[in-house]
Amino acid sequence: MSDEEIIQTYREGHHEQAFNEIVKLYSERLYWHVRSLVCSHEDTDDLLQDIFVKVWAALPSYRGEAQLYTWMYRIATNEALNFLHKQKIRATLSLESLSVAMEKKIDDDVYFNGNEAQRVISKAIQRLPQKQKLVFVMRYYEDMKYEDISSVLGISVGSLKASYHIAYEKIKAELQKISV
Amino acid sequence: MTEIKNIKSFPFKVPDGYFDKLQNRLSAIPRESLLQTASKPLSDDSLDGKEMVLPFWNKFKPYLALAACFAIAVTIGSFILTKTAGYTKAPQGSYENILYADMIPVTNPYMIYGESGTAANKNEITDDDIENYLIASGTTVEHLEYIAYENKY
Repeated sequence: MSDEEIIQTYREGHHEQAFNEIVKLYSERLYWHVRSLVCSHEDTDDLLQDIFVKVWAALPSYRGEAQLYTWMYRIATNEALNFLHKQKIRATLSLESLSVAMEKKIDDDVYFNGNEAQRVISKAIQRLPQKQKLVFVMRYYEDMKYEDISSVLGISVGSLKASYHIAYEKIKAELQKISV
Repeated sequence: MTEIKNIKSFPFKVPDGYFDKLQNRLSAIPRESLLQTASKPLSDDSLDGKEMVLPFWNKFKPYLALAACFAIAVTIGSFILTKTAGYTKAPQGSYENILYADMIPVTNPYMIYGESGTAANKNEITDDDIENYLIASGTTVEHLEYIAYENKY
């Protein structure tokens, strides 16, 4: 079912059916989107539950001004960023930086399935500033178009391209260190 | 150098059957939210679907609270400043010192304190002063007679 059909189904009164279609279409995509930001499977699982609860609560007020895809990603991104903000406060109270805490999570993650280079990239992503991190993850891992990223994040395409380029160079530099 | 393009896949995995279970769990959200809505107390009229309208003055409450906090802060601050500000009593006559500073003669500065405004009386030595001085200095009577004789002749 396409996004338009889902919305049409919802407006016809078949709320639960429409929601189930949304879950089927977006749960896995949003899982990887959130996972690339928060690193932990357990945290991602919890966040995903919260995200879809919010989606269900916000569906009546969805006016169709943005695409359903953009709208869903926006909710998921905001939830992930709120979570990271809380993690940052927690890490500060423990006298360590958020990026160090996230790197520890990557090292301790039993579901990490990559090689050393991928581990270095994952850690380097966590050291990026928030905007660069978001753009890099959405462009590099999820192959999203700049126009779609711009709709989700509310940032101009030019700014996104610049941010991506800077993030790319930083991560490339990190990779060069291990290959030397 | 490993090109960043060649290692693009997500380096994470999920437990087996996770996404199927996830979809089942997420699909239960509408039913759970209906149960939560149904369990809300009936006496809460504000949730009958009517739009809650704030009383008129409630809209100004935050601004009133802010203004009250500001007034309290200013009052307390003024009180503290008033009580802790230092007060030094000027020494007596200090104003006159400043006022007449350029009129004080270098040779006889006490002149300005004279009651008649003429020569300073404070510098006049009395007989009592001389007597006290002689007693204090231990000068004998014979020495005094000698001095008087010398002065005479």
